Amino acid sequence: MPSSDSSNPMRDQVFSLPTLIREQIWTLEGRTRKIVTTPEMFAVRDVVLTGSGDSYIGAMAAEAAFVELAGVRAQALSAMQASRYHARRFDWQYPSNPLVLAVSNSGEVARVVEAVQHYNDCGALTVAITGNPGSRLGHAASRVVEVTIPPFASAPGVRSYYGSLLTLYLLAIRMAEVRGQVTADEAMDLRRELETAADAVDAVIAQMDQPLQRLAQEWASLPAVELLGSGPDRATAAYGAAKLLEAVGVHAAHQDVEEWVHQEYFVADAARTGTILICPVDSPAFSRAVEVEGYLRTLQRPYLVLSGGPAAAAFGQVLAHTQTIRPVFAPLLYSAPLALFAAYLSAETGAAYGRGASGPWADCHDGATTRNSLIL
Amino acid sequence: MFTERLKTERNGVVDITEGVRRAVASSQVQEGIAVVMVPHTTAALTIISFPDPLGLEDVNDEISRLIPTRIDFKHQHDTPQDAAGHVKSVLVGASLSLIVSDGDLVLGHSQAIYFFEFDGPRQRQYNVQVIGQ
Repeated sequence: MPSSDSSNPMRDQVFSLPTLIREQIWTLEGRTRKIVTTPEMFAVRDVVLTGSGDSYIGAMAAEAAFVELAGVRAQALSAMQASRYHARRFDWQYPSNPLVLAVSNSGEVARVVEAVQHYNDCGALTVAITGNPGSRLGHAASRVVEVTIPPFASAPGVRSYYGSLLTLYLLAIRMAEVRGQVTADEAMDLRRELETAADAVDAVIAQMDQPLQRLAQEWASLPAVELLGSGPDRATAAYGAAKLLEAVGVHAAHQDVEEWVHQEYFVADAARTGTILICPVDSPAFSRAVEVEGYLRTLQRPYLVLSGGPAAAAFGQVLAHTQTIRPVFAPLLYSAPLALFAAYLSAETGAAYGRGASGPWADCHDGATTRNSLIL
Repeated sequence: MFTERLKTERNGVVDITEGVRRAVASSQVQEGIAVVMVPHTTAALTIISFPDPLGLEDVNDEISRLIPTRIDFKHQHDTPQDAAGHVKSVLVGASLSLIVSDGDLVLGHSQAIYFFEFDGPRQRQYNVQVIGQ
């Protein structure tokens, strides 16, 4: 339960996540189980995960699950990359290939619809993952997985993001099971891991709630925040940046841990550039993250490391959790506290979500800037 | 009823003769019938000659030759291995009825009772009910 009276819709969405996971996991399992037939599962040689905004980030987060669990070539592409660059150049000689998993909660995002139309034209198997089966995306795709997220007070996407993540993870597990990468029992264990992630998220939120609230007070006047992560944690960094941009409007960016050393390390205004480094202790990037923390310290950047377990003591300034989760599912664990931080920063600064879709931002009212785009 | 659990390998074959004998002994039935059953639909029971283990492989190979794991089974709720396993289980059978005499199973000198796993690895079990005096 929330531990303070600074409630706001985004914070409330974060605190609702454990219940959402428990309530939706088996419903979504039923909806994904046979959405791709067994012969199609074996025909697939490549998986393309695509979307825009949070949906693209969800695709990034789930890419590793398809590679590591299902043993299939998989790549997350932004809708623009998928539609205008990839779809037309793909090798179309195989049936039901690639399997395109197109994510859009509203189902009305123009570039995602366009990407699916182009993939359809070339013989791909397209599956829409959406909360709106009657949308343009729902009509364009060969199949639809309906991701029903019970309504909640409106805020920059938190619950919908978790719905997308769960759906994509379940599809990866199902592909792994059908293609014989894991046994039926192992597949069920993986599904139960997703279910019990609810307990881990619950504990992480409770553990990090007050420290993140204090961090929001300390960082309220900073003009920029960077979030760093590698592998699936890069997606989490991107998600954190997206929430800060949407909820607060502070300039926020995400970067790979290694690439940061080559690029954003040189930002001149280091003392006013908040940095959040996301690195589970079992991440392959762990040793590099420890080195990067040393650079953050030397630069005198205000920073925080999100990590977990006893080995997290390798970091000097860390907010560590005690829960465990396999690295490919780590975005489930780390996205919630980042959304919570954005919620607190929004409350601290008084920023309206999405700048209230007013003034120079009025164009984005009702998602118009993403929906009203010429579809080629 | 006697229940014994076992952990199987993928497409594994397990000799359960001694376990069934223990069940018969614990029942204290001298003359009667022992019914052995697997409560699974992708496993089966049968009696095979045990002296040459390669004979077991022959049986398993022939079952797989008759019912190969294919991707075009109509049953797609689970995996192709599972779908093939259902058919194999039907053909081999899920239960055995065995004669009990003098408090022991009546088996031929080269006969043994085998549990066939057609999926796996799985946590499995078989049940034994002994009826008689």
